[in-house]
Amino acid sequence: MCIFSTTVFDACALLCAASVSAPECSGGIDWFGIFMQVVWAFLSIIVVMSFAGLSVVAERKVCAYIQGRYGPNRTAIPIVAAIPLVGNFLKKNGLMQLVADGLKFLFKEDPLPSHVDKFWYMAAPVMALAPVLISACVIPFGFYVGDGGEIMPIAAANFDVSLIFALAVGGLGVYGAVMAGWSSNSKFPYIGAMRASSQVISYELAMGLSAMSVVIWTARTSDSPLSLFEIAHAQVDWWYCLTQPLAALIFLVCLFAETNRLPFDVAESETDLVSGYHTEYGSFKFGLFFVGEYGHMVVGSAIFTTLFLGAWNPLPGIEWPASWGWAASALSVVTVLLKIAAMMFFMIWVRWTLPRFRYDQVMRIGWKCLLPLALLNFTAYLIFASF
Amino acid sequence: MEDIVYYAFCAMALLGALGVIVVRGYVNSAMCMLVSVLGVCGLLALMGAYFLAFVTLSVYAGAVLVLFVFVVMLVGDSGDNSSFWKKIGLLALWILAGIFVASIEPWLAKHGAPSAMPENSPLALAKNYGLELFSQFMLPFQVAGFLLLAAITGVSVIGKHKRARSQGEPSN
Repeated sequence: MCIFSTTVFDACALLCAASVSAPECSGGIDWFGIFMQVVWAFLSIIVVMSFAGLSVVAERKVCAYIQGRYGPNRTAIPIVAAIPLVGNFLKKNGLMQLVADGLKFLFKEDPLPSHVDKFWYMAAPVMALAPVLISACVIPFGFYVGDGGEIMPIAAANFDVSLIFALAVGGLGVYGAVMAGWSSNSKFPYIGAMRASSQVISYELAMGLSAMSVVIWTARTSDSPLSLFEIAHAQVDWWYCLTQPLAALIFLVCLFAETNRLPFDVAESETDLVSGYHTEYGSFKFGLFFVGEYGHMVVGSAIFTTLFLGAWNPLPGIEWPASWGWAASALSVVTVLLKIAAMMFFMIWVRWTLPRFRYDQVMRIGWKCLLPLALLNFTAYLIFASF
Repeated sequence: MEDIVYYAFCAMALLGALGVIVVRGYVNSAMCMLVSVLGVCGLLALMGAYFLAFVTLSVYAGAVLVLFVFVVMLVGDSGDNSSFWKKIGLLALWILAGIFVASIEPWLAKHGAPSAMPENSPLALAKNYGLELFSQFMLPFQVAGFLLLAAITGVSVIGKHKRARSQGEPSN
């Protein structure tokens, strides 16, 4: 039900974007154009959701590998597990555990504690997931060659300021955590919500500033440097992680903080807050928070890939030649998906390597370290780019 | 199609603004304000002023309102909810204000912004918007900046003063 409503919400937002961006047809409403926009929207949701699901399995498997265990390798779905090679492969790699986890969220009792603020308690999980799915619509997953021979992005929506759109809408996800903590009417979720909101306020500024230095650099060659597509397009020769390593580092650290990943997950630190802002949640409402968190990671990785890791270009200085037609498009999509997967692996790797920061350390890093560095970095590139 | 979306966003903006004064509880008011801001951003996006729309979304919905909610949650609900008649009075004032504006400036209701941006409009492209802001509107921009600076200075002076006074008093 909740998934359905978020999807409808997402489709509505895209419809709005489509109705604005699509040129007006003389014969009234362009139903086919709208239909295609909805298809694109669902495709980008499917990519983000399946990545989120697979990264849950990857999280458990990578964690097990790092800790010298096997990880989930027992769960078996009766008939599927009996298929000769495939069944065993799925079982050993924990892919059936994914189905079991999902079903568990669906079939568990759905508690509604008596002391909660009912409306916001029900709305908070949707508020955590919906922004993630909406911001997924501007990510360029690859390119295709248009009719006129020009390169176009494979994205549900492509407009002048898509970078700001992605950052702004992605930042709205914090309301899910805040309202969950507030509506739970309970101490630990409340502290978690306070920490979540203060963390987002502290790191959003440094994140935006480090992205702006990339925009400044893109502005030298492009007329709409705030578009994710133009930024990706400008990275044929030199990826921005090579020309702007400091900006990339700041953005990466802020990404960890924005997605509430370890070492920055003070908002739901299990050691002192039980489970943080979603302590009072169970069953599928918790599932939505869970998916929203991993979806946020996927979208964040995709934005980082587009901004700093060269988007669909396989190596610095090498690009898929546009003359290959659809093969180049397919290769570009595979490249982007591989880079997102690598970023996800990196985030999981960091989680199981570094310990959690204390709350005061999180604030100190944000305000006294990252923000001045980002300002300096931005100013330096501003001066550098104007010559 | 566009009309439906337009009226939906209008409803969000107006009902959200109404909700801020009518609903019970500070946090609910702040969330109503969020709905209102989202509606306004949607209207701007519908106009084709994407840069303005999403910068508003980023600054107001993404930062300022998070701060509001943060402060409201810290202070907590004091429980002094205004009475039903007070809310009705506020509602009447809200409607009267609308009627007042519409009667003084009737052209506001008749002429909306053009639904499609002209090609060379400064709102359509972020680059043109920046050029316009830093050439033709340089003085108002700087004056607004000075106003903000004055406000920040004032707030920090008032805040420091209070903190020093509370530190001087013996705490219980």
